[in-house]
Amino acid sequence: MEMTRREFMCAMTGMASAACMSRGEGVPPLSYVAKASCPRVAGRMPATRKGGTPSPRCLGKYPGEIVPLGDIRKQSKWSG
Amino acid sequence: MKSKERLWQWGLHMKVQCELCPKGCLIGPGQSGECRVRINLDGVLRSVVYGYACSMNIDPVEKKPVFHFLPGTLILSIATVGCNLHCKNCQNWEISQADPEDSRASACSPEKVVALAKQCQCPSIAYTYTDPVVYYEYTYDTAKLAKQAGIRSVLVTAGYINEPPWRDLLQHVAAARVDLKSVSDAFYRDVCSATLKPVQNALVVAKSMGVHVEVVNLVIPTLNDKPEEIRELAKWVRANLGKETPLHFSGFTPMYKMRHLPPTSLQALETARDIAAGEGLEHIYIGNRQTETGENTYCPQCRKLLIRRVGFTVLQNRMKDGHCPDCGKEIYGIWK
Repeated sequence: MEMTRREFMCAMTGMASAACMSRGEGVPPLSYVAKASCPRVAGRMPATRKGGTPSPRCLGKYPGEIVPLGDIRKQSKWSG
Repeated sequence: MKSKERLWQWGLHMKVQCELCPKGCLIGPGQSGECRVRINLDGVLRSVVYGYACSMNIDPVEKKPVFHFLPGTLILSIATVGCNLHCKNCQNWEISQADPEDSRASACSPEKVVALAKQCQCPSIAYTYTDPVVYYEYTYDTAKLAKQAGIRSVLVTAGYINEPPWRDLLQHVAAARVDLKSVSDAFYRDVCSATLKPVQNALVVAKSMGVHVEVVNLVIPTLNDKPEEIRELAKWVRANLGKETPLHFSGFTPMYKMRHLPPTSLQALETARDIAAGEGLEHIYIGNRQTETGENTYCPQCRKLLIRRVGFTVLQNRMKDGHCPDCGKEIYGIWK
């Protein structure tokens, strides 16, 4: 039977669970296997909400240094 | 999207996938995407540069370069740090490839940007220097407010963005100056860490939505200056964007990770211009090099001089309401 690596891991986890349960062994190794075999989690973040407005996700604070606005009438040194 | 609560029940850290650009970064908690400015904070994607401009200056519109858009006017130009491309030849790499943590920025809300443009009598605002794609929300909100205030917006971009957000943004934008760095996907992959198709798609979408489009091609010696490649690029522009679309061939200056290459010769740029003219394009310009006529606009019908430029300065503008004063041909662009 063809299966992905993660499906294979899930199948193995199931067997390991059954074995551990029957022998009454502890949970920690099981939780580790379960975590490793669980499908990778990814929430999708659309760039815009329905209706065309951007999602409100500005952070509200800048991680770098904040400086006062300079002389904007001077031509920029940057290209473009 | 699966609820955050459920994920935490499983004791897992939630990753988010950014759908803004074709890279589709899968971002772990507390990490940022390739652009460095879009981070996953508690399972929510956030922009750390919203409202924080690393550069804000008033430039001539010819500096963008946008030649068929309000010639001779000033344009308020803003940028934040970060870029979703990593071009080895980037001229602005000090801000485009900088981490927000290591950079300086000034707090400037979209409302303040629009107010400054009004105060300085700039008829337009440019989102430039880095790439407005990565500060999408800031660009979007500012462009929307600007449009309401009668100020036009110009995107100076590499056009590496997914179609839905691009379409939403273009609703509030008057012009887009897009880099078409090559028509070779291998070039995009090797030099820019990007791909060609999304850029071509962005150009076609912008044109189809009635946004004024100008294309810039930076000619880099030995990498994308082969006559066949220039010809293919000109053919693509003509076939997909129309022969009236302005095409700028810019000269490369050794920079960033490409200091080993020589600067583009004027002769190479003139050859590129001749090839594009041979393919039927009507408005071809030479940039980043001093030339007698390379920046002038000529009527494609009667070949008379319409706009004379030197550097970023318009010395003479003979246009009459967007038409040639001699033969009356309508010239593509936004002229008032």
